[in-house]
Amino acid sequence: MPGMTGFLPRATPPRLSVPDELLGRCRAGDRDAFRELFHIALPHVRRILYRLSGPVDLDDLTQQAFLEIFRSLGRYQGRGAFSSWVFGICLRLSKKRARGLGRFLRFRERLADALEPAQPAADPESLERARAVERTLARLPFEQRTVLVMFEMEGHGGGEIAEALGIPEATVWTRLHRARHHFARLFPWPQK
Amino acid sequence: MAPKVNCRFSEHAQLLLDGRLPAEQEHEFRLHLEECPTCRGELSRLESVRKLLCDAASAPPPPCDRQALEAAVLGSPPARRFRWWIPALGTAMAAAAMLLWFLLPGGVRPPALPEPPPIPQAPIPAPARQALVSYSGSFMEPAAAEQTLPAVAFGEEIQAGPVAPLALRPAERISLVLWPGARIRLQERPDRSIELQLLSGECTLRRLPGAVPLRIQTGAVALWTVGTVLHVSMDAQGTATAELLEGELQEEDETSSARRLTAPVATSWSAGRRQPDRAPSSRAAEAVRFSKILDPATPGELGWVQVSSSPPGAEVWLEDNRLGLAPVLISRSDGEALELRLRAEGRREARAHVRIEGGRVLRQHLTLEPLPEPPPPAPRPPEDALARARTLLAAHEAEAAVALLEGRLRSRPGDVELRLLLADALRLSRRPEQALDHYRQVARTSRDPHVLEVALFEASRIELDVLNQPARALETLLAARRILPQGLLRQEVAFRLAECYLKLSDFGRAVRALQDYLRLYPQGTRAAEAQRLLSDLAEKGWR
Repeated sequence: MPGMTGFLPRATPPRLSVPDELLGRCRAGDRDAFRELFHIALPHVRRILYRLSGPVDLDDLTQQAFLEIFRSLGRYQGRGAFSSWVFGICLRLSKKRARGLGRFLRFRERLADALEPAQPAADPESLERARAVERTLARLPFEQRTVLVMFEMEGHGGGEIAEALGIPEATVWTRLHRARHHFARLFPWPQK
Repeated sequence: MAPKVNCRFSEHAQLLLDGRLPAEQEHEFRLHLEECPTCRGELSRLESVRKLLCDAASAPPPPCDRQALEAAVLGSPPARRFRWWIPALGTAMAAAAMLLWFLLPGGVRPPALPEPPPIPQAPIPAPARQALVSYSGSFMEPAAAEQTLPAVAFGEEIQAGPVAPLALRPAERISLVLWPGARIRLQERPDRSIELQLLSGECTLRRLPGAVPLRIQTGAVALWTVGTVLHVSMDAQGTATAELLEGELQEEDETSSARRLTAPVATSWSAGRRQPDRAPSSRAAEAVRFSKILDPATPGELGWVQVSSSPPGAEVWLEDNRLGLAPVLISRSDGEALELRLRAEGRREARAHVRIEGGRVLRQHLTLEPLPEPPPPAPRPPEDALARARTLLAAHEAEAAVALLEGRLRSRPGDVELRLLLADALRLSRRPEQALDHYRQVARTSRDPHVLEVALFEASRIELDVLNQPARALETLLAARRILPQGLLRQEVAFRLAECYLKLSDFGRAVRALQDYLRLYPQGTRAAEAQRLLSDLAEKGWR
C-alpha cells in the first residue's frame, strides 16, 4: 500500500438540504412539491444506496426509498437533520435487502467481477481500484460497512451516525475502527 | 494489523482519523511517529484506506433515467421499462400459486393479471404502473422455495404471467424457469425423455447430470441437451435463439446436417435458416444466474466453481458429461463433491476434486502438461548395411562387422536392431564387456519386449559364462522372466536360472529350479541335462 505523508481529510460530499417550506407542502400532498423533493434528493439517495448496496437493482431500491420517504414524511418532526433521516430510510431498505436477499447479495458480491462497471473511469487502473473498493465494501459486515460509508464517504459525525442507527456513539467508534482494519485486511493492495 | 499493544499510542492513529484526538495529544503523537515505525505504518495504512474511500466517494453512482424513475415514483406513465426481472421475481410465489390453479384438473383459470401489489398510503398518488414496492424478497427464503411445484402436467400449455417467472421441475434434476409471458408445453416421450416445446417467450433450463434426456422444440428447430445450462427464446417474428452457457447441444435438423454446439455459444434460427454463431449475451447469463436462485431442483445453497485451464479452451468433463470448453462456471449445491477432468489434444488429462461451498465462487485452474514427444522413429539403416553385417558375421569376420556397425550406429544411435547386432558382433570378436554394455543399452531403450528379452538373455550369458558373475546373471535372468514370463526364451531362461544357483552353490534353489524346468518342459531341449544335474545333486544329498 502506498505510504502516506500527511493527515487526510475524509470525504465530505454536499449535504442534502431541503427547505422546511417544501417539506410542509409535501406533507400537505402537493404533487409538484413531491416532484421538487424527488429531484433535490435523488442524487443524495442514489449515492447512499449505491454505497450501501452496490449498483445492482439501484433503480429499484431508489424507487422504494422515495416511496418510503414520501409515505413516512408525516413522521419526520424536524428534530434531526433531514439528510440523516433520509439516510436512516436508505439504511433500513439496504439492510432489509441484505437480510431478505442475503443469498442473492452474496451471489452478487462473489460475482462482482461479472458486474458492469459502475461508472466509466478515465483509466483502467482507477476503474479497477474503484471496483476493488466496491467489492471490499460489499464483503464487510453490514454494520461495519454502514459506519464506514457514513463516516468516511458521507461525512457524517459520530453522533449523527449513532442517532441514525439507534446505537450508542461509543459503539459507532468501535465499529468504525474495526471496519477500517477489516477493510485494510480485505482490500487487494497492489504488490510492491 | 494494529500496532503493538504495549505502545501507549496504539489507538491514536484511529482517534486522529476520527477527529477525536485533542490538539496537545496530536502534537505528542506526531513526535512519537518519528520514532515509532509501527505507529507510522499503522497510520499510513489507515490513511490509505481513507484515501481509497475518499476517491471512491467522488465517483458518482451509475446514471439513471430520471424521467422513468420519477414516473415510477410519482405515478405518471414510465418512459421506459425497468429491469424486467425485478418485478418478475417479486411476485414469483404469487405466480407459482397461479400456476397451481392452472394445473388443477377442472381448475378455474385466474385472471390474466395478478392482484396489484399494495401501494403506498396517501398523500402519495397511487402509481399507475405495477409498482416495484411489493417485492419483499420472501421468495428467497428456503421455506418459500419449497413451495414451488414439484411437477407439472404434461401436454397442457403453460404460460407465465405478465409479471412473474415460473420455476418448474419437469423431471428430476431438470429445472426450468419461464420468464414473464413465456408459453411452453411439456411432453413425456415414449422413451421417457422430456420434450419442451417453447411456443413463445424466453425460458432458462438447467439439466444436471443424471437427468433424463431433454429435447427442446421451438419452431422448426429441435435440440437435444447434454448436461446443459441453456437460455432459449422465441420472438414474435419466429426467430428461435439458443444461448448455451454450459454443456452441449445436439441439433436435430432434418434439412441440413446435424451439428453439435459446445458452450459458450449462441445460435439463432430464422425462417428455417441458421444464423452465424456468436457469444451468449449478458442477458442470458443474467437470466441463468437468476434462474439458479429460483431453481427448485437444486436443494440447499448454491456455490460455484470457475474452471479455467492452461492452455485455455480445454474440454471440461464432469462424470460422463462434457460441460464445455474452459473457462466454464459450474453451479452446484453446497457440499457437493465434483471430480473435474480437463482434456486437450496433445496434453495429459488433468483432474481435480472440488467440494462446492455455498455462496462462494471457487476458482480451479488446471494446467494440462504436454504429452512427451514420441522419439522420432530412427530412420532405418539401409537394408544392405544390416544384411552385409550379418554376412560378415556368418563368415566369422566379426571385426569387420563391428567396424561396419559402429560406423552406422554413430549416425543412428537410436536404432535398436543395429545395436543388438553390434553387441553380437562384439561378443563374437571376443570383446564381451563391450558387448555386455550394448546388450544392457538395448535392454534399457528397447520398446519391444522380445528384443528386451533377447538382450537380457545374452547379457546373462556373458555375465555367467564369460565374466563368471553368477549373481549378476541371476538378477538379469530374473528380470527377463519378470518382464516377459511367456517369452520366446522362457525355457532357456528357466534352465540357466538353475545354472546360476549351482554356481552360487545354492543347491537347494538349484534343485527346485531344475525340478521346475522339468515340470514345465519335460520334453525340453535341456531336459536330459536337467535330469543328470538333479541326479548328481541327489547323490550329494540335495533333493
